[in-house]
Parts: sequence; C-alpha cells; structure tokens
Amino acid sequence: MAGPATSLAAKPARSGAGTPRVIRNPLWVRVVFMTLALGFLACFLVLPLAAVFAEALRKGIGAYFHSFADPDVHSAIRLTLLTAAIAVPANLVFGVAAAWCIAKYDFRGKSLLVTLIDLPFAVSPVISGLIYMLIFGLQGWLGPYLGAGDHPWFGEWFNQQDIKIVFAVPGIVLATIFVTFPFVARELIPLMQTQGNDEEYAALTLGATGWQTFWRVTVPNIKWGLFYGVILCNARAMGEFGAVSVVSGKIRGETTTMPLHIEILYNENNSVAAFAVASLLALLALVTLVLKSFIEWRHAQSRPAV
Amino acid sequence: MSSVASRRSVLPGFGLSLGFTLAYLGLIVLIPLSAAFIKTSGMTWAEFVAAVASPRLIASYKLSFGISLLAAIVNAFFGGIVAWVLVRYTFPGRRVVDALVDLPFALPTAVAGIALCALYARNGWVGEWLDPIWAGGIKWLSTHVPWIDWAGWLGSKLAYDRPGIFLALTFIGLPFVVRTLQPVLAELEPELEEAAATLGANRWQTMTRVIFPELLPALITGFALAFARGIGEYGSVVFIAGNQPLHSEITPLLIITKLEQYDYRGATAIAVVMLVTSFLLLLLINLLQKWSRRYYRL
Amino acid sequence: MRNRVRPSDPFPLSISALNIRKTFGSYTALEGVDLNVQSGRLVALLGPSGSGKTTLLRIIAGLEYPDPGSGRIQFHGEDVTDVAAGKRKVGFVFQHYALFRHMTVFENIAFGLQVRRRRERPSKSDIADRVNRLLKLVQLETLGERYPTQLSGGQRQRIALARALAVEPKVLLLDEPFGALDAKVRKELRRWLRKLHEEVHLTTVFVTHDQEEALEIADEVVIMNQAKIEQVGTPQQVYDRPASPFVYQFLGNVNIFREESVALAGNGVHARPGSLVERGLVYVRPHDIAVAPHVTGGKGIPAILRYIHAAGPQARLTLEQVQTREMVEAEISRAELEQLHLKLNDLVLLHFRQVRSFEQDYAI
Repeated sequence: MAGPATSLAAKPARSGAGTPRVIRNPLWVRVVFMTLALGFLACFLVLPLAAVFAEALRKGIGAYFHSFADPDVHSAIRLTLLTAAIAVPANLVFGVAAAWCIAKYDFRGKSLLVTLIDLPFAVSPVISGLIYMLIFGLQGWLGPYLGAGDHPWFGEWFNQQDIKIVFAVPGIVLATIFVTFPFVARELIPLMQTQGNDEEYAALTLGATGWQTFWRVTVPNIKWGLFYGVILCNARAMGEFGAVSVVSGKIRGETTTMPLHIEILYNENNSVAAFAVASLLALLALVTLVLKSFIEWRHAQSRPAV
Repeated sequence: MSSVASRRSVLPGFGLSLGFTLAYLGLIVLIPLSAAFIKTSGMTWAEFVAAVASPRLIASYKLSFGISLLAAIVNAFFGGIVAWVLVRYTFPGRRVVDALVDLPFALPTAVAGIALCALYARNGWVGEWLDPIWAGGIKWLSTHVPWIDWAGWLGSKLAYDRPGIFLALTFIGLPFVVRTLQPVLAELEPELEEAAATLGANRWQTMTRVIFPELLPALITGFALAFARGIGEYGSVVFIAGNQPLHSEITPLLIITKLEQYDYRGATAIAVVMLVTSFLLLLLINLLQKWSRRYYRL
Repeated sequence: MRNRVRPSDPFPLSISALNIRKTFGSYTALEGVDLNVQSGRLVALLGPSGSGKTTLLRIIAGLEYPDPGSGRIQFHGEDVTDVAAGKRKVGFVFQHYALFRHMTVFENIAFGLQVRRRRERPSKSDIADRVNRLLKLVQLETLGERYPTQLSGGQRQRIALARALAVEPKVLLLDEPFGALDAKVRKELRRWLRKLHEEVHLTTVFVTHDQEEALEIADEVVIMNQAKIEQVGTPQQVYDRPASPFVYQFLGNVNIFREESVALAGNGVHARPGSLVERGLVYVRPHDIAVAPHVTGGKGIPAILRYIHAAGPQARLTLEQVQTREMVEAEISRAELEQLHLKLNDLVLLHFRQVRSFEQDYAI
C-alpha cells in the first residue's frame, strides 16, 4: 500500500487532455490552477533536483571530479551496484512467479496473498532493517550460531566459519530485497490479469509445452511491464537509505552504500563530495524517469487500436 | 476443493509458482516480520508500556502523526490541482511535468534530504529569504491566532527544525495523491460535465457537486497513502529535522537511537507500535478502495 | 483439389462426450451432458449465454476438466479425457481469436509447428510452405508480415482459423466464431466457413447464440439451455419439430395463446395428434397465422390491427386480440397485405395454419 501508486496498468490509455470541449473552466480558473500546480512542483521537485547539481559543482568542475577519486567512494559505488545486481534479479524471479500463480489461477486466499506481497511497502524502512537485526544480529535468533565458535548442533566446518550477515554485505542485500520486494510483482499482476489466459490456452492447443508457452507467449506480452517493474525496483534498490542504514554498521569503505556514504560525507561537512555522490544518484533517478516515460509511451502504442 | 487450488487448470506451473512465491514470501517477509512480534511477546505489559510510552516517544508520536497529517493535507490540495492540470489541460512540456511527478519515488531519500537542506537552510537558495518571512509569520500568528499553541514553532528555523520535517514529508508524499487521482480523473467522462451543464448547473456547481464527489474516494486514498508513507519515512527527514529530543525527533529515528544503545527490545516495541498502526492504515485504505469501486460493480 | 489441407488421418474423427458434469463453485455449468458428433459433421452448439455451451466446447478441447469422476471425452472411441490439450489434435478458435499480439500473422500460423520437438518439427521451408498454403486457403496471402492489431476483425478471425488448421487437427472447435463481427461480415464469413468445412472436411463443432447462424450452416444443431441439452437434430428437424417450448421459442418468434383461444381459430389447424389434449399454452409462429377480413359470426380470433411493419419481403403485423387485449405478431407476404387493403385499427380475424403445444409447460 504505502508504496508507489505508480503502475503501468493504471496508466490511462488516453488522457482527456486535448479533446476540444465546449464545457470547461473559465480562463482565470485555468490560469490559477496552472500557476498553483506548476509553482508547487517547481518548489518541491525542480528546485531540490537543481540544488543537487548546483551544490555538487559549487567549487567548480575540478572539485566535483576530485570527489570521485576517493577509494571509499569507489567501494560505495561497487557495493551499491552489487546489492542491486542481487536484489533486482531475485525480486524479478519472485515477481514473475507470484504474478503467474495469482493472475492465471483461482485459489483460496489469493487476495490475502496479494495483500501480503504489498506488505513491505507498508513497513517503515527502519523497521525493515530492524527485523533482520532481530534474526541475524548478535542478540538475534540465529546470530549466536553464525560466528565462529563451538556450537554443538553444527559440524566442525560450520563452527570454524565466521559468517557475518548484519554489519556486512549479506544483511545489506537482504534488507534491500525486503524493501524492493513488491515492485515487479505488483506491476505484473494487474497486467497479466487484464491480458487473460486465452493466448496461453491457444499456445497449449497448438501443442506448446508449459515452458514454451511461458517463454514464447507470456514473456513477450509482459516484457514492458517487466522492464517497468525492474527499473523502479532498481531505483529503490540503489537508493535505499533507512533499512540499509540499520543493518550496515557503516564501516567506511566496506559496508557503506552510496546513500550511506553521502550521509557520512555530509556529516563530515564535506558538502561538495556528498553532493557529488548524490548527483550520481540523481542522474540515476532522471534516467529512471526517462525510461519509465518511454515504457509508458510504448505501452500506449502497443494497445490494440480496436 | 479442500486444497489451495479450487479447481484444476489446464495451464501448467501452478504448484511450482505458488510454492516458490510462498517460500520466498515467508523467508524474506513473513518470518522476519514475525520476529518483531515474537521478540515483543517476551515482554510484560508493564515493560512494553514503559518502552513505548516514555515522554520522548509520546512527543515523537505526536510529531510524526501531526506533521504527516499536515503534509498529507497539503498534498491532497496541491496534488489534486496538479492531477487536474495534468489530465485536463494541454500545455507545452506536459509530458515532462507528468514524468517529474514521480521524482520523489525515484530520487533516493538521502539525496532528497540533503537537497532540501541546501535549499531551505538559512544560507540556502530559498531559506535565505523565506526563513525571515517564516519567523515573522509565526510571530504574527502567535499574537493574532492565540487559541492555537504556537510555542513549538515560535523561533523555529525552516531547515534543521520542525518545518523541515514538513517540507521533507510533503516532497515524499506528493506522487501518491497525484498518481491515485490521475487515472480516476482520466476515466471520468466529460459527458458527466456536459450533462450537468445541460441540466443548468454552472461551472462551480458542476465542479463541487458532480466532479468532486466522483474524485473523493481516490483523493482520500491518495491522502491516506501519503500519510502512511510520512509516518514511516526516515531518510529524507533525518537530515533536515535537526533531531532535538522532545522537539523534532520522529519515531523511526528513536528506533535507530535505541538500536545504537543495543536496546533491541525497546526498539522492537516501538517497531510493533508502528507496524500495528500501518497495518490498520493498510486495512483502512483497502476498505476505502472497495468503497470507491462500489459504483462500478455491474 | 487445390489448397486442400488434408488431415493425416483419412477419416475425420467422431467426438463423444459422456455424462459430462462441470461446476464452478456453486454454479453448475453442465449437468450430466451426453453428446455424439459423427465424423465429418459440422455441428452447432446453440443456446443462450450461460447455457454451458462454451464450457462443453472447452472440455472437448481439453481446456477445462470435467468434474472429477463425472464423464469421459472420446475421439473416435478412444478416451482422451486425460490427454493434454496440446496432444488432442484439436484446432481451437477462440472467441476473441487470442492471436499472439507480438507475432506477425506468419509467425502466429507457424507457431504450432515451431514448438514441436526437433524430430517432429518440419523444416523451415516446409513450415513456410504450409503457412503460405494456409494463408491462401483463408484468402489472406498478402498479409503474412502484418501484426494482428493491423487486421480487421474478419481477417483476424480467418488468421485464427488458419493457425488452428496449421497443426493438422483431427477436430476443429470454434467458440462464437462470428460473435465479435459486424452483421455483414458475419454473413459472409459463415458461408465461407461452410465452404471451408466442405474443403477440409474436418469434424467441426462451433458454439453460437445466433439461431440463424446455426440453422444456416450446421449439419446438426445441438440446442442447450441451463446446463442441459434440450434437443439434437438437423436444422429442419429442430425447427419443425422442436422438442420443448424452450427450443420452439429460441428458434424464432412465437405467439403464445391460451388453449381456449385456439378453439375459436379452429379452422385449418393442423395440430399434431395428441398434442392439444393437455390444458395449457399453444405456440404459433407468426408466419403460421393467417389474417382475414372480419365477418360477423365468422370463425377465428377477432383482433385489431395496431401496427404494420412493411420493410422487407414480408410484412409484420402487430394485432391486439379483442377478448384478451394481448398482442399478437403475424407475418404475411407483401402481396397478401395489398390484397387485404388493411388500414390501422381495422378489425380482422386470425386463423392458425399450424400450432404446437407441449405436454409440460415451463414458465418462461
């Protein structure tokens, strides 16, 4: 629920704008509405975005690029990419499986399942991190067994391993998977539901196997929805702050992702460097928005014109 | 009919996909979430109350709730206008503006947080001239509108103080209202307005008595989504809130504070309060959405 | 014969459905239905929506399973109830065609051949050959590179048919094949389907709710209502000798009279022996009603002419019975109408050429 209300399926096929109508608001109302809307968006959206780049370049282009020479920044970028590279495919596979069973079949408890899938959006990011601390932290359920030590139930090899989940990369990845969990699924479920099962049935009567039907008929039909879900999932995975901040331990150069590294730099009053790293994430956000608009446009094009 | 699948389907893959879905959901979401509740169940009622009802926490609940509510109301108003303008008006750059509405979804919260700081701090682009206006405005209000207690706001700065929380939550919540309203507004047939006009209603009557009631369920849903997100928001707020105890500390921050003191139980107890709140909101939003669809069941 | 797609089996298969039950939750779609379709026939499953006809068709195709333990589906005596849809050798044409949107027409038709296992898959050139022959068969040779969205409804319909035929099915099943088309295209396509049936000579079952369509092209019509089969017969049989009031009413316009009225209109009535004995209602088709000028003391049902609808070869008259005030529809030829010199509100006498009554009556 408390997740993005944005969805490909919710996009209207055509908007009412542009259809010439006799009945409409008087000019002054339109001017007031336009001014309020655009003014509000300028203050709250355009200005912050502009501020990121302006602050990053405050001391000139040289200082800007110098910020990226820091090996800790490199490691933050690497960790962010790695986290997204694990979390996004994992949630992609899950999203497809969930959408397949929810959109293609009728079973009891289906609406409960849909609600549960949306659950991570309803949870504060801080809590998303906390719950993994409760399981893998030193005071947690599994925490005491993970470090090296003499645990009677496990084999010798296991006891010699010093497995770190929280305050390490696995915890960051897990927390990221949690917060980006619903993105692909909630994109695909409505899409596959509106498409129905007829094309899959047709493929089956023509002798295709289940996998052939899936790869040759279903996947091409949902590819834009898939892509849409993936870029939203990726934007959140790379940008997540709260959940990751709880489990990371913020060991500089080891467990700081880009958003966490921004915090460190900002608190050190290294404003230019903080905004320089932030500018990369802002660029990512802009690319995400452009891709998103492109997919919406493609999706509107591909709607049958009948 | 006894098992999960109520009827056999010809399409293969039900067992595999449902099995994987449930296992993944259980491992990633349900078991970790239940850990919070199980951890709390080990506390006595008195311990629990002590952990979640300290003065510092009560202050944070009031703050998180109050400012989320305020930000959601402002978003409902401006978001409504933005949605209307985007759906009904054509103007150059409409597609760009439409895409930009999703910026708060796409921009990492930490980036939003420091950007808002840079803008609204006393030496920032906007703060430079808005901060004195704000201080003056509050002073004026405290003398002319005495029945509201302005003490918490008197002498406040825009950034690194309570107003900053409002700015951050307004930024975060905007797309929820716009994106919930937009499809409803686009589906709204212009014929409705034409019918109202032929029946003699003027524009104001048409807007308030025909269009607004049609949009109300979506508006409330968007409002509730923005509100719920505001309560849980952390990243953008911590940078700009100033985080002064009893004054500008939001509830999620207190979870972190407890964790840093290795008070896992205290942190978990607060988390449980927040989780229950957001589940109740989730329920409310689902009911709202059912209610808003009640006319469309044919 | 040119363009002939010959099923590999020299004889088309017969289809039997034995005691098929199907429920969706508390809703019963089929209630112990038995159906036999002889090989090579073109059979229409006719009924109002919700009568279970589409469900029956989908069960024959293997797209739905009958309720556990209920019935069997046999093709030519061989049980296929547990055979997967893809292995039944059926060609299925969906109501909304279910063409693959992301594939060209050519790729759509070739799909069923391309998904075969390598050793059963024809070579690329064989596939192209067969697709082109099918495109010719459905008279759309030039459209192979188009996408489904670029075609008209009638063209999509024919592509869906070609795609179904590409896998050389033994049985062809069509769900409301003309349902989504406009009136003119419907008429053209159904004649074309009849012709095609004669060419490819497959056992074909199609579902429709349009009696005209079923009566015009089917060898045999299966009339369904409320999860049951009401009657099976040739178009002439079901039209002339309907087995139930439902069939009678479903197959055309009909007037319902109380039995007492019929005594009045007695002359010229050819009631089937024994059928008039029960008290109840009597059914008369509009074209079985003769209209005569009113003669005092003459036999017949007195009625007042209220409306004349004279567009088309036949004139339709709406009359109000003097005694019961109920409305009656009669159909007479235009020539007859002119001969009678009828004006609105004239008093006339009605006679029945043929009436029908049923032992058991339904309240419809």
